[in-house]
Amino acid sequence: MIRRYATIGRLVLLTTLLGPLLAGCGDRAEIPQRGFVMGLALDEAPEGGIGLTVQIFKPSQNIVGRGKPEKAYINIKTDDESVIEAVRDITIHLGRKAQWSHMRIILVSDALARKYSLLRLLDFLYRDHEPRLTTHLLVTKGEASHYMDTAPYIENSVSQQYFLSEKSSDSMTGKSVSANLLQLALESRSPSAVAKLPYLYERDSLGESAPTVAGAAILVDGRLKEVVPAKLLEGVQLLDNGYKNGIVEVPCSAAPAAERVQQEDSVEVLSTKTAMRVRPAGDHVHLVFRVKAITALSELVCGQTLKPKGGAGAGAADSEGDRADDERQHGLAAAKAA
Amino acid sequence: MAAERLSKSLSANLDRLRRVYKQCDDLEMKDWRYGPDLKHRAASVHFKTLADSGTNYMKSALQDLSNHVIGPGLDVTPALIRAFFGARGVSAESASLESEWAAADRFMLQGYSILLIDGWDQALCFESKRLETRPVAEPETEPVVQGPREGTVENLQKNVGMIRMRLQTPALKFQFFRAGGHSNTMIGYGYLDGVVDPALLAEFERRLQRCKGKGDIIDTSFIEELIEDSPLSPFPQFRYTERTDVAAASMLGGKIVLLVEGSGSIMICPGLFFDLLQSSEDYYQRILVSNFIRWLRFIALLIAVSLPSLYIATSTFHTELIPTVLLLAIVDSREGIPFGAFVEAVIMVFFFELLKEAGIRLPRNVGSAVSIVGALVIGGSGDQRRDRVADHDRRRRADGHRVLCAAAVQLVHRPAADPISADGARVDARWLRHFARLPVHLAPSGHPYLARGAISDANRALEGGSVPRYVDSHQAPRADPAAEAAPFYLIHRCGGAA
Repeated sequence: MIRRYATIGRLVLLTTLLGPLLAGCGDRAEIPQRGFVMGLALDEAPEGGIGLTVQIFKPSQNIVGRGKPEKAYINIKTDDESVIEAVRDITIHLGRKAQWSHMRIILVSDALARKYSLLRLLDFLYRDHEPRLTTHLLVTKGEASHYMDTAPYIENSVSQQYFLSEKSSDSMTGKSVSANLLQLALESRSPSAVAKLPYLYERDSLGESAPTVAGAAILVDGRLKEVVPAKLLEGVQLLDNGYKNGIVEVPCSAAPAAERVQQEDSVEVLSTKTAMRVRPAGDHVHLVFRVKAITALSELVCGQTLKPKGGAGAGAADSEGDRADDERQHGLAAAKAA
Repeated sequence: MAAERLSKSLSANLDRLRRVYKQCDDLEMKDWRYGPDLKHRAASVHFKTLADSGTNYMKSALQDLSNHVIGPGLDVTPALIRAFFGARGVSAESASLESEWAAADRFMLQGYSILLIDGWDQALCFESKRLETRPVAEPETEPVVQGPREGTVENLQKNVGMIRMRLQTPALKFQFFRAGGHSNTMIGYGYLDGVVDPALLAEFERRLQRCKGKGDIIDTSFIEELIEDSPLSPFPQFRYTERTDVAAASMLGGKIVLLVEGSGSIMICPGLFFDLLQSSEDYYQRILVSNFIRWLRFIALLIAVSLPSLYIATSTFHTELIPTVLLLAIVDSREGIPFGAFVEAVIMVFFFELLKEAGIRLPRNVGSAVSIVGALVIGGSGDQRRDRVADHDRRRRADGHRVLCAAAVQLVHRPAADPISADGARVDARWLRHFARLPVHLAPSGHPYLARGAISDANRALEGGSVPRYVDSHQAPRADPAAEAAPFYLIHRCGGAA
């Protein structure tokens, strides 16, 4: 019996000693003591500093279903010499500890991305333990903080909206890419040091400006070099084996000389697979791409009277894509060379 | 000290009884005379609260000895009685002979009638116990969908009988003993010989020795406390059931069951922790279904044990682990609460226990109103916290309607087996008037508001968050004939102009 009590005593002692370590008591803070960062926008500040706009979730104070819903976020702007200094300045305004773990999106203005290497600019986010490496990044046309002031459509913060539209734009239209901090670091440190980030710009829609995620910013060594527009990006994605799902245009006729080759039909791409081969030709090399796409014909407006296609709802349309993408191939080559 | 024996003198015996049972006003002694010229004396003694007063055992005894069919027994002599009953002659009512007061007392206290014959130092004890008992019914705590619905009653004989009916084998052993003390309760334990582990049985019997002479056993749980392994453990160490089929099934599994006279709970020993997660229906479901449900119970156990602490741990220390959308919902709900997650959880558990206790202990009429208000307090606590800063008056009125309609729903949805009385409805109405501060009216059964359509309309509107409109009695569909028959009462005026 005494031995049993001694064992229990030791266990209790061990738990007491280990408990505080395991529980992470050092990190203790009640939820209302924290400010949850939803998004971060980086801009150039006057005198060579860095301007930081932090979007923080604002819990609703009103009763559910009654009263006018307020906006569920606040934006805080600070600027300082470096990101970490600007980050610490948030507390001055907010009075709560910023919690970075649930950050949805990082916006970097194109001007800043041309000036600094993103890897160095975002060093704080790579080193600190709170931000996740899976946080997604966008390069914005013009000032990034401006995009934070836009009111969201459905989501409760615009950061969440950018996060979702970036993901669905990449996976469902092929008109954008998707990139997070980790992918950016891996691509920038790869031998070619070329990385693609999604591009955010404003488009006029019914007299209002609508934020749009389409196209890609091409970064070399972490700095912005080129912006690939959405129309071209589809081809780049196809060649890069990164095209997931979307609508592509194909000529109505397979014959190059036919009149109706100028007109196009749209097919839905269900999946693609691209293989690249390098073929030496004299003093230069040819890159040969072979794209295989499973497509679904869902609208045959152009070809329906002239060339009735026999029955196939879904089929392989590889050779057609090949030729059409020839010129886009040069676009990628140009980007890589730059 | 030698045991006290009966005297040959009837007067001495009756004096002794009057002395011992003084102030026991329910002891009934009746003097009889019989024999030639009615010169012989006899007396019958019984507790009229325990025994059946309808049968006259004196008459029955005389009848056994009389030659003519019906009569006052004028030819019966004490010698004849002594000879007949002393030699265990066949009598109409089975009787046992006792010569010691201790045994006679015990029989009397169990509801036997005792016949004392002048000149004979023996007491004739006839079994005449008659007590009102609960009928065999499905136990409320262990209902099943499939399987037998017999539950135990407070009668040990009946309970053991129901078990023996299910295990018809001589290997089913049942042993009985009395605990002594004031209650002198009969205790019985049973097992299947050859199935039970002999070492287990020996240990059980060794521990049971502690109960002998301890006395004052009212319920099976008294014995649990005497024989359990660790009295300070918070975990139950035996399984209890009120179903004889469960007792039989567990005996087939090598367990020992213990029953106590006057209590319907059967203790199953030894109790393993995982036995506690077993339901009686597990025996009757198909293997896949019962396994699925048992796993469900394991998961429920884990959730019950760990969910509040997990919530505290993640929300206070590891907010990173909570998915973003869920986190934002939590942040929304936590804003403006003055307490930390830990204090909040402790308060929640405390109030939950409090309401549970109140729900069990409060009289049913008051209890139903309290549980409605309690549910609203817990459910609406988030809203009520903000009440102070929000539009006070409007919200209180809306809540009043909600209380009202919840009560109406509760009263109408009450099962038919448990109809609410007019008094109960009145008590409910009083409580609701107090809490809701709105005029509450009672509608007699058969009122059009009892129609299902009207109630479900009100419910739907309530779920949709709006205040249900007053349903006009002319437009309401005709009352359900079943509802009309049941003595339901409805608190109506569910809404009105908000």
